[in-house]
Amino acid sequence: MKKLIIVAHDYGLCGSVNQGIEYVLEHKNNIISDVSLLVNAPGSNAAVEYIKKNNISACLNLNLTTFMPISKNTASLVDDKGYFKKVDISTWDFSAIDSFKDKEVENEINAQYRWFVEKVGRKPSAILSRKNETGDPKILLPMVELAQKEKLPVRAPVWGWKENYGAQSFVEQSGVKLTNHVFIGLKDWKGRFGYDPVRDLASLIKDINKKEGISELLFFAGFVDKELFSLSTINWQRGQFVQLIAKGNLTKEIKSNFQLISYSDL
Amino acid sequence: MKKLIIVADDFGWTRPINEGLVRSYEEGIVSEISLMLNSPATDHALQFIKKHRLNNVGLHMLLINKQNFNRDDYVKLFQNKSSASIEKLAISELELFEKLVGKKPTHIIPQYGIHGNLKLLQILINYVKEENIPMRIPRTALSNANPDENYAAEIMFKRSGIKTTNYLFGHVTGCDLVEVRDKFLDELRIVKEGESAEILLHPGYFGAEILKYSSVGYERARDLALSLDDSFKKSIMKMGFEILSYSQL
Repeated sequence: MKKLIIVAHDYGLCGSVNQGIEYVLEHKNNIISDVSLLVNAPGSNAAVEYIKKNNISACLNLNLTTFMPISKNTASLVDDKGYFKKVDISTWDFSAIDSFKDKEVENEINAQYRWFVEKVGRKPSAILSRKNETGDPKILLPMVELAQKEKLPVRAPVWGWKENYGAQSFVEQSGVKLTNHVFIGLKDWKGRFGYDPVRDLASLIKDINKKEGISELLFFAGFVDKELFSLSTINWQRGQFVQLIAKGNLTKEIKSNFQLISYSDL
Repeated sequence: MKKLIIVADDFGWTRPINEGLVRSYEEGIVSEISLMLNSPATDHALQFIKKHRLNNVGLHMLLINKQNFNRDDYVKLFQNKSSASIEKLAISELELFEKLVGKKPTHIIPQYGIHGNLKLLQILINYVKEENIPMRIPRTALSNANPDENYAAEIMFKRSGIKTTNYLFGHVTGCDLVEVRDKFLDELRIVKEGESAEILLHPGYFGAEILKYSSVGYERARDLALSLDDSFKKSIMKMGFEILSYSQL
């Protein structure tokens, strides 16, 4: 049976997302193996408390595209209000990264890592990133350096949630452990990537099985409230996964087709 | 002009539903609110009605006084209860609405379209005719057949001459917002000048509590997003619709 890691994305984003992820983690039908913790979001501290209390396998969700940096001297990374420069996921325009200064990127990555270790009290199970901005060499290189130093696995540095040979082979050649593929269990409303975990479940299972190596399946989970509507364009969609876990069929299909492992098993 | 009423069902079920639903009415295209009595967040909804001075509030008739009901409860209700017992339940719910809200409902919308059952339909027709209250088309979820296949109720409803819309459109489940939006826009093309239609939505935020009661969960937040979508509203207006409440029919 093929091994599969299932990650709940954006843990720490806000209260309703935290509650949705925790609902799934506590449910008998849970299939999440790892949470992906944001360190600079409104719900980060509350998420840390839950991780510590329940000993959850948690990955660092590097975030250089939303909210504010946590390091100092970040002028090239931010807009005039101090927020990370905006990227546009509707067109996948990440040109904001063009003007990022290497040293500031490195400092911010290291600061987010240190925040994780200090607050959670242990190393993350792996290093991931929120929009997989680690597929951009400017962010990839310092992230790989950190992963080498800390002996941590990373997510396949895909781009736009599609293959990204240059970056993926770079990680492989660096000796850092990585997953081979990433699948998104959410049919983005513009239909550019991802699988609807109801309509496309059969093709999702088939496609994961076709890929060599270890795949990660990423889900957006959360309850939905006013705060989430204001924080993310992916808001109501996060409820679908929570509801599917409550119903049970998705769990049955995934468990009968894959051996679920965690990033900490890599 | 073509008339369109956009109704938010299930006001009063949970607090997150109430909060999202009121947002869809105040900031979005929802023009009519359907209130559930004897439900976990009815009191919270009543506070909203008073505080926000919500005008277009009708009755989402449940008949059954329990939190966790399903379709089969209604099938049994109609099998086991006489018309007189059903009438008693219906009238007491209507009286309770008036007592709690301080006025008569602006519409009657029975849960699951249970007025597709003739016992209830006859009772409600008598009531709404006398009070001149509009009622939703009796498209029912009680049968396993296509909800539109209920000629007896349809013709009885039509002959009664009560205030209603010519069409009713709803897409409850599914995670593709664009698909749902496009289906609504496509369906609205059938409405002719001078005719009217109702779109039923279930707008709300999504919390854990509703998973205990309803199979419709996150889709409520999807409907909220749709109700706030400016391009959806613009497309509707461009088709020549005026968005109205039931009392403006």
